Amino acid sequence: MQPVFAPRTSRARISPRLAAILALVLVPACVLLTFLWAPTATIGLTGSGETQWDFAQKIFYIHVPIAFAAYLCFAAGAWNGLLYLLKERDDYDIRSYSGVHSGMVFGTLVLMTGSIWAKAAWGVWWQWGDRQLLVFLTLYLFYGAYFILRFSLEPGRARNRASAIYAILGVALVPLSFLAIRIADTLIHPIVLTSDGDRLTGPMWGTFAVGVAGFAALAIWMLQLETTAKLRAMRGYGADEEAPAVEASHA
Amino acid sequence: MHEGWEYVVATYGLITLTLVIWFWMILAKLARHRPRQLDD
Repeated sequence: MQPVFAPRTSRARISPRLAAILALVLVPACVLLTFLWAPTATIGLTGSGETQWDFAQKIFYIHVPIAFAAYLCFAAGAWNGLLYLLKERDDYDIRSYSGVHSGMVFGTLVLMTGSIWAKAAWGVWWQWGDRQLLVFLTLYLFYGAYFILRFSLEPGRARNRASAIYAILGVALVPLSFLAIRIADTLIHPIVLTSDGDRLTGPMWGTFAVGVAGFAALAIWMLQLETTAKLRAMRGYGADEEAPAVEASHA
Repeated sequence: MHEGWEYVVATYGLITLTLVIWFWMILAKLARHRPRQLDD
């Protein structure tokens, strides 16, 4: 048996197997720690002196790590877009596209889980006064338009260059999203990542850290799977009507 | 049971469902575009 095609055009920087193992261990571990180790947050005391529990705060341990995973994917999309502009290799275009694609999936989850949390915490599904939400929504819609741009152009160098430049421009919104919460006038969105705050206890931080590591690994793994699938499709693997031109030279 | 548990269940269920469907779609695409092998 002899492989018809080389499976890759470049080496993966992080082993897909390592990313898969870390994701499969750390993400379930985060869920277990959320319910078995991290204490349920409290809001305060009721008028009668009973503790008011904030069980919905458990959403935090998965909502924020998924947001970081979305940022990671968008950053990967921008970085590979830059590499495409420098080296003009088609696989960088596919990697950039995979980054934006995966970022949109995670981004959709961020918006949906955030909306559920908002309903539980504030009683509304959507809070337009929340600047953090608006900045993330802007980022999300910006990268949503990436697909309109990409698929309105004919495949080729011009499309790849336009997509790469767009992916790079979008990543400028990522640090703005981090800063928005701190420069917001309406501090509705909870700030938990402060050095002097007392909002999270040790087990809460531990659970959150496991979640961040797990979803980062998951993002890397999904990115690699998406990239491999898209590269195979681009090369016409398994598609009889697209493959002959490449396969004929090997037959 | 704490108040608001249904929101937490909905969140974790939604994420699990989304990831399972996404993973399944990628695996299906990988299988559809599997590189073929030629016999010597």
